[in-house]
Amino acid sequence: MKRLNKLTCILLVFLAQICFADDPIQPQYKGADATAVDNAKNLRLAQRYNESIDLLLPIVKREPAYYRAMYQLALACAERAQSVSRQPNDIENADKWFRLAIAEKERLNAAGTPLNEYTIYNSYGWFLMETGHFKDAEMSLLKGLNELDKLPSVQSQQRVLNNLAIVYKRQGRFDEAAALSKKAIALGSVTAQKNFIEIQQMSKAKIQK
Amino acid sequence: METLLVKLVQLGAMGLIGFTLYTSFLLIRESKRGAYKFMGFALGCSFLAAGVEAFKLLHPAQISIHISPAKPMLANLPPPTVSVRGANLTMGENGEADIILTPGDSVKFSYENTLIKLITDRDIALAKSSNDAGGSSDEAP
Repeated sequence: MKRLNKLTCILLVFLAQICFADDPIQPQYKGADATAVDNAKNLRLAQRYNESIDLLLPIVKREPAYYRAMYQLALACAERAQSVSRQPNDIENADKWFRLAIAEKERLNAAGTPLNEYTIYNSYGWFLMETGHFKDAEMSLLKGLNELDKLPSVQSQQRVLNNLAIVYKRQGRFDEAAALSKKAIALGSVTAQKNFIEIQQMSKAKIQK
Repeated sequence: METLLVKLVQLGAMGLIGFTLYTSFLLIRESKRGAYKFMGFALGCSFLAAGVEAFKLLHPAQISIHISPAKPMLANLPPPTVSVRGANLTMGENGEADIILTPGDSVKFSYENTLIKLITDRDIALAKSSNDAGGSSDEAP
């Protein structure tokens, strides 16, 4: 019985640790806020954008340098803008929170305490592509390309390469688009294979013209 | 208004020539003196007018083209580029344009950018449903 109580205590402490773990990127944000951001992320992924935004707004107000909260808020606004529950200022708000999160990331980088998180450049680039800002998207995706090795997965790397290839294709820069597609193919991207053939055809048509 | 006045004057001139021809025909039937001179004058005027019209057709001074707005087709597309005498003309946001040409001009419509935009828009739609392109929403920490 004593052993069971001990085990229960250990389990409870372990669960409490999990539930109130520090933020994985900025450990100075402890317990409740980090858990709230996790919850907000789960709500966003479940397409419950209003609840996610309601949870994140007080956190970013209280903690204006909390990168992960700003990033999640930007994504929640951007995704709500494409849903049936979209609000008039969602695009502007998403852009604002993306910029603030990136500014915070770059401030920390300059201060010599870089955050080990690089997916935001692709997320912001993709958001700009979807809203038709291809020039700005290129700049953000190029930053992502510079940090390609630091991305968390091969899939992340494929995304940056393919998205930037689409941006170049849109601008008629077929050689650069083809080079990026080749790199994505080398990483096993199926989308890049289709894209590469089309880019070659378009490039050929341009030369013949 | 100006065009209407020109048409009215032209119609009046044709009517006058027709009347002169008819009168000269009546004079010839009555074997009046000078009837052939009268008819020759009317026919001469007719041929002259026809010659002027034929010359205008063969050597137009100006051609005006109007491209009507095509909003449904161009709603999400950039306007095609229109180039006259090597200079690009700006079309309205719905693709409308007024172009005046002089003899020897050539018009070039370029839809290249529009096609590229169509293709990349399709790419973006495809990227949304693929795992190896699109946003990093699922990987954001």
